[in-house]
Amino acid sequence: MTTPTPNAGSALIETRSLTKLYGVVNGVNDVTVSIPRGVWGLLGPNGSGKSTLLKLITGQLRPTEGTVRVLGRQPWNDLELYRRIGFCPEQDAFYSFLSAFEFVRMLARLSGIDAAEARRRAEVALERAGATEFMHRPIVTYSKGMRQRTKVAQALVHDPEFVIFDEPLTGTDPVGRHELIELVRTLGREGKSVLVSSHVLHEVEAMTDAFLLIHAGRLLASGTVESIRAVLSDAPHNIVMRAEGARELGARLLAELAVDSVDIDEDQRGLTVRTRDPRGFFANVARIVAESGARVVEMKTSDDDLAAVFKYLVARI
Amino acid sequence: MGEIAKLHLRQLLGGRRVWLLAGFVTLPVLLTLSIRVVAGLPDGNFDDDLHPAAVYLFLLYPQAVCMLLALLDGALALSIELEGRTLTYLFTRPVPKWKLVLAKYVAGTAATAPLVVGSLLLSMVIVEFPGGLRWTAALLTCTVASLAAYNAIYTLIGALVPRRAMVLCMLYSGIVEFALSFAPLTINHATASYFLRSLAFSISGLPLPPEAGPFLGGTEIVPAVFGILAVTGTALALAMFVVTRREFVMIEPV
Repeated sequence: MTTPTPNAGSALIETRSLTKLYGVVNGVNDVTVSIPRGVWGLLGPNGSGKSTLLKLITGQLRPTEGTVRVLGRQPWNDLELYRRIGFCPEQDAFYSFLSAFEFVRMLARLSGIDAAEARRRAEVALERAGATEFMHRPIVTYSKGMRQRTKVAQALVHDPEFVIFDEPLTGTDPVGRHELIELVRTLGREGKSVLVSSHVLHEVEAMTDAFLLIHAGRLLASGTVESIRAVLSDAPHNIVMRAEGARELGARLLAELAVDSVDIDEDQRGLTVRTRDPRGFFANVARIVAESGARVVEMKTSDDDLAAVFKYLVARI
Repeated sequence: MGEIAKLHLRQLLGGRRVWLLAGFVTLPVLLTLSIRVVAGLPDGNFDDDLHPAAVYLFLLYPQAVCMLLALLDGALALSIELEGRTLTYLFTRPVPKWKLVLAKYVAGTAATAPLVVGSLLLSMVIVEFPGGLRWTAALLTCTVASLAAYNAIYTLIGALVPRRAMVLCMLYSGIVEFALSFAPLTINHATASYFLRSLAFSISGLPLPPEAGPFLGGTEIVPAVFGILAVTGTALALAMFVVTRREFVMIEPV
């Protein structure tokens, strides 16, 4: 993974009291942050303000209050900056009568690349995004995954130094997901800066160990996985299990692990474990299950959803 | 600019809009043919260069067909990108936003002008070129000028209110271009219709009683040409300014 490198020229993104209002609705609320170049994840539940923040960063929106600088420049109507950034939007929007090749080539031309070079670069970008096979078919015939690859290619075609992906893994199949994660990591290794937004923690965790956490338009935390884990270290986690012998298992878990509470369902088969040490729990649960003689048929953590984590963080602030 | 122009032409001529476009240039010819077959040509000599068939063509083309074509083109130029959420791709490229507007305007006007002129010429053949060369010149000039002017005005309305562009353009046409342009007030000099009528009167040589001038239009060619150019240029410049300055929100607020 590529850890962000401080002091590599101007900051990648620098905001001061950045606020964006849609009428009276807050899109982004008083965000002040400065992050160095590197690969960053922008994490937040749906509706948390990620897309608004990305649109401010890419100059599609103007701040209501405060400032935003990207690569040392204010993005609104800054044509020079647009040459240096690539944006892969979340929305599944296209000129569906074009082929992927025509679409990417056209956007290369709009980036100021001459006709012959635009053709070459479009082919290269589409190959990089894994879209060569279908690039001459009209986009209207594409699957969701194909369209996603096309969007990725257009963001890369002008070889930007900073690439921004808004929820790029939405709708991709496992292979596409793996390839896209690899692509982001490769871009990082090539020295590009990348910002990837997502509402799924483990997806972004596979790409980078540096995050911005946003919720309800507010920046909750920024830094590496370790620093955010430290913030979250005492956050309670709920683990839901279904097992035969649930009562015996629950008693063993309470006795042997740092478990706050265990609730047994009325049917005596389901139990909900509440712990502040999920790592310790998962490291030892298999042994305890085996020793207790219980037969576990299902186990899941209800806190996988980022919203639960953010709810906890918001409550702490 | 060339890429945007090409894109705009494919949007205009490659989708369902092309059928409406075809209808708007074909139906006037069929209407003219029907009238000619049913009613024949107007009888008698017409003094003072008033030719009913020429007036009919003026009302049909510069005052109706061109407006409809501009509705399909100018009014939708931005809103189609906004509603399709493709504006993101254009606005994150190093192209000045005013150039995007200009490219779409030029491409749309250049593509639709030959179609409406062709339709007009066919209609003129059907009614045997009423008014001769002067009215032919007047009708052709007014048709092209009307298309250019309404395209610019509707592009401006589309830039100001992209999500209600069609409805507002129609309201504007009814209230301003049809009603207000006949008001004997100075404000009617801000309408395209007033100058289009002036252009038609001045080129065709149709004399107007002095008392009709304030609401129908002038008879001097220079102010007429200057007026229609001013309306067109102002609307287009304002559209480019608005698109450069304003935000276009393509996401639902959180």
